[in-house]
Amino acid sequence: MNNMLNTMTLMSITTLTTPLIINLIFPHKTTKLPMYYKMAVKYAFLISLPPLLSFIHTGQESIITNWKWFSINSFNLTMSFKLDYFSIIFIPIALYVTWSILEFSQWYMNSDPNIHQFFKYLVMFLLTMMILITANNLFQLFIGWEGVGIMSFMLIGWWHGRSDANTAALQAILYNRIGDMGLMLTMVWLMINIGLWDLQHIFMTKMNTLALLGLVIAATGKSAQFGLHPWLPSAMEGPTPVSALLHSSTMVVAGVFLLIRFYPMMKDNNTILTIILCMGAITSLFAAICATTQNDIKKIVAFSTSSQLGLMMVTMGLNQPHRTFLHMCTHAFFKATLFLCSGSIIHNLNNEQDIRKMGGLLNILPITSSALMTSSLALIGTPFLTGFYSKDPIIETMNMSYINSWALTTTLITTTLTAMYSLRMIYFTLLNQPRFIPLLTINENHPNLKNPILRLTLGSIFTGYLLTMNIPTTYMNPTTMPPMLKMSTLLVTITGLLIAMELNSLTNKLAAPPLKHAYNFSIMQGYFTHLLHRLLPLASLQMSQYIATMLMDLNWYEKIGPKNQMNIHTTMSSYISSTQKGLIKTYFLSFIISIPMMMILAT
Amino acid sequence: MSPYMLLLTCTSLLLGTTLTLASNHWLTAWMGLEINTLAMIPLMTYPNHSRSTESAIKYFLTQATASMMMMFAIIQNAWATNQWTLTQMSNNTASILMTLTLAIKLGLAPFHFWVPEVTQGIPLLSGMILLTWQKVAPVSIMYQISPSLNMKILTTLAILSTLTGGWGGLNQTHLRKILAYSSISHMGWTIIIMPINPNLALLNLFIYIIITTTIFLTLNLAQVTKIKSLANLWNKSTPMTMIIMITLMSLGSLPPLTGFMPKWLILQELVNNNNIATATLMAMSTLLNLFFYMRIIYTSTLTMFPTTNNSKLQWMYAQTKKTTMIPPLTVISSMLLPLTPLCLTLFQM
Amino acid sequence: MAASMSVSRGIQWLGTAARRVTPLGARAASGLRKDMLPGPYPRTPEERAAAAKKYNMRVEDYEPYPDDGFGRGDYPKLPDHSQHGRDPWYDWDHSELRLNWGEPMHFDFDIYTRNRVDTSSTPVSWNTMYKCFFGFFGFMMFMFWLGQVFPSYQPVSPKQYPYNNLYLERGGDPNVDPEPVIHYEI
Repeated sequence: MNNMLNTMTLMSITTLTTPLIINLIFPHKTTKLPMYYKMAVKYAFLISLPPLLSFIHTGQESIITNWKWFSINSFNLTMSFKLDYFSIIFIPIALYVTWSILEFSQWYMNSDPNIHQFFKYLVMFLLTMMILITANNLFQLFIGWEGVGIMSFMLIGWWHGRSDANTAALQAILYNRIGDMGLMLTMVWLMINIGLWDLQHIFMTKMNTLALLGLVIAATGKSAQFGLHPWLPSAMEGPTPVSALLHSSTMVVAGVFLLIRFYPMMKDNNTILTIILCMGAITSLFAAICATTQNDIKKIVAFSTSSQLGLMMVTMGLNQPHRTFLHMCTHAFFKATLFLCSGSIIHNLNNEQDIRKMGGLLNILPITSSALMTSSLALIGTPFLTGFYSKDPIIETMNMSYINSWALTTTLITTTLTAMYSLRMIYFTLLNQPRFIPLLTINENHPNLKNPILRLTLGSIFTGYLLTMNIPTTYMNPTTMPPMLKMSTLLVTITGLLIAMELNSLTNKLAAPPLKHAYNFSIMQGYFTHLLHRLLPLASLQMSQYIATMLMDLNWYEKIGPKNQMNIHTTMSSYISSTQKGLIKTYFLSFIISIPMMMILAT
Repeated sequence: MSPYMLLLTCTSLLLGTTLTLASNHWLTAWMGLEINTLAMIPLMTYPNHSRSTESAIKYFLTQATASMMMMFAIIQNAWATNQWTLTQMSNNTASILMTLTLAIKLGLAPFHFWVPEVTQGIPLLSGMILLTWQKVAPVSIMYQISPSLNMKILTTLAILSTLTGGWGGLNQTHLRKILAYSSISHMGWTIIIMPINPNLALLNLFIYIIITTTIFLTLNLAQVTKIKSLANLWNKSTPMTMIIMITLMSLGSLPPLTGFMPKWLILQELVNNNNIATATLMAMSTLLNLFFYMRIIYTSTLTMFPTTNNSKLQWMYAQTKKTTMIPPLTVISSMLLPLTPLCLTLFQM
Repeated sequence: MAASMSVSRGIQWLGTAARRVTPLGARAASGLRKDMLPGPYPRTPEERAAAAKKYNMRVEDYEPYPDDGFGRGDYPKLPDHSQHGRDPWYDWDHSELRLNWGEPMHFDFDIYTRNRVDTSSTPVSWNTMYKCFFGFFGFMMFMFWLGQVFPSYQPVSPKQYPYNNLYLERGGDPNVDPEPVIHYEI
């Protein structure tokens, strides 16, 4: 059985590279390539299922080490894959979601002249994510980490003719770079203090707060936590399939995944856990506040991702990595569905993203509408849909834990807000009268549009149930609790729905927003980009300018350097020339003064 | 000057130095120096006019003072140690006094005042002898008594000389004065190494003499004494501009020219003897020299000044002056660097 | 011959074009004539007028940098506005810089080019944004601190202790057996 687990997991990764190799060998035969890419991912998914089943059956984990890269003194680096609980479960999920997204892209990107390249990028994106998930040493993990960053840069900037897309891509890579500093900090710390990069060895040692803080910074950058979050909403400039892939199973969950990987080091460090908890709470609240008033359908979904990532972080802060992981898996399904649905709507409405110009799609796009509603309901944690199985236990655990009371409060508020913005989105896009131009040929007949959405919707209904029923549970569910605590999640969600109904009805009343400041704060994304994207560059550029013009150009290169030299040498030179008067008197004066002086000094 | 007189003077000039070089007795060494000085004076006044006479008098007065002090040092040494052997300068006072005397003769700062002014007044070829051949005898004496020299005094004199040479030359437009200051600065380099490795001092002097001779011969060919006149050198003889450039760069000790070799060896020797600060100071002050050499190069070679040319193109006509010595000297003064090991062996006597 | 002519034409044209591209009053070290460099600080009204004319400005707009010895001379102190905020539809002479020919550039022009600092006006005033954002952030931090001081914990049953719930320690009668607690009934 062990052989099957190793072989088939590696095979599913290798399968992904076949269309890339085909493209290398026949670079000009590109018409069929998108289909090859899709098929490769599909087969990779199918191949990855037996390992999953075997894992569910026997619970066997494995590490493959097969090739020594290099060794410096006592430091060995090998190519090594870790097939454990997390990677064996996440690989089929990522492949399943990507398969659907690729199929959807065949429809969505149909008119793009470089569609095969787009697919290549998507598959490479997935491949780097797989490397990251299966990595058993930090070097391999770093390759995956950076690969994910680079591919996201390429994909977000896919429509590079638009300056907004370029700016968004740059923002993504720059914010991620800040996070990479953290990962490098940890890697260097480990190299210096432990001298090992293999995970199984690292887990036997102890890491101090600084090294763990590096990991937290890395996760903050990659998973767009508060402070390094602005790239995530900006990344909506990329094509919708990219957003779907980016937000569901790759990239943004990489940061959370890193923390999950390193939970054995973190579980005893209260400082780090508190930092993660508070950061997650503030992120989820902030993102939810921003999502409440956005008018761009993709921005709403993006902020909801940010909010859910915050929730995952909160769970990490509760020291519950397995619950985090579960939420990460279920989130992949309904978030991908949400994005594909919004992609379908956007494409059908001729690239219209503003929810104020939609409405009444319920009757025109029935499949998309039902998928959108199902996945939104899954997102807000409706009982027995996917989100319920991961979200409800998280909030229950929070209620039962001995934790920061404000983090708990914010998480409950966030849950309310989740219901609010989800309902708002449904209300504006699907219900009421249509507000778009009537001359559009709207349809959802194409199988490449229908099938992936349906497949992912099935996923967002059943995955939570399947996962919680089948995978080995590694944590205790609290069994008894007062009814109020058990019901608290549902109660706050219902409150959110009611408030949202009230707010939505307000929009028809032509009244000015009652809380102007709060409204502005929310719709302008907390002023974060407006403030910091102006203040920080101004400060650093001004300092650089002063260093460049004042310190270097004026002082060093002019005043201290040449001018000072010139002054010294002209003064000395004219002084020496002025002693040359052609008088014999000076010669003998120099003899008379110098000779006795030297005689006295030297003897 | 009649040919007989010229023959007599030149012979005395040569023989005086040779006597100093060959003697092992203080009295004969002193005698050689005196003969040398006296033979020099007629040569200085050869085209007889008031400037050269003034220079000759200045030269005579300083050299006479130096000789007198030297005699005093010799007698002091003989009195204290009861012997006249040249190499046995064991009395401290006599040694210091001898050092200062030789410093006056070599024109080291702060006894450098006479050098630029005397050189300025005399013809180019006499100046060449003054700045090259006349240094040989004092340096040879210094070489022989080098073990008993006072290191502090020598270092002070050397650093002062390089700085004075550099700064003094910055403000000059007359070629002879510039070369005089260059001589002061090079003498500084010669004696900084004297107590540490006297053979290198000889090597330095040797190469300095060769390069200076080349420059003086070149200038003599064109009969120029000012930087400004050098701007028309191309008219006189175009290849000379190139020669002047290379030779001056060599004098300013740019690698890969000959002039780099002694400086390189001296700096290495200083650093090996833990005199890093001194080495740095010397190297930096030589940059000043390089700067005013560059000014000459700039004028003579690198630019063409907007001056009217009143004369005909002279390079088309046959030269009246002999240029036999210039090519070999140029070659030696620019291409000796690959032969550094050979030179080192030659001077490790 | 024709080829060499065209080459020399090309070089001439390049030279002219290069001269034309360098805007008047630019701070670049190359390609500036001496009279384009900032002069000494203007003290009298006449000098101010001359300096303003030199920089193609009106006298009332012209305001030099303070004479603080940083060598800015008579260079005009322009408002700190980015080029990004300028009208993108106007036919600028240098459309990339959004600058007209002969128009004075900001002393720190490099900071305010289009892809650097943005100072264009925002829908909400800077002050409000500042207060709102840092107010939000500060409030959250304060509340997290407060939450850390008073953490939340919901006990679902009374706390239980050993030795029959500390029967003796709570002053129970040692001679009487404590009442057994039964959580079930049959």
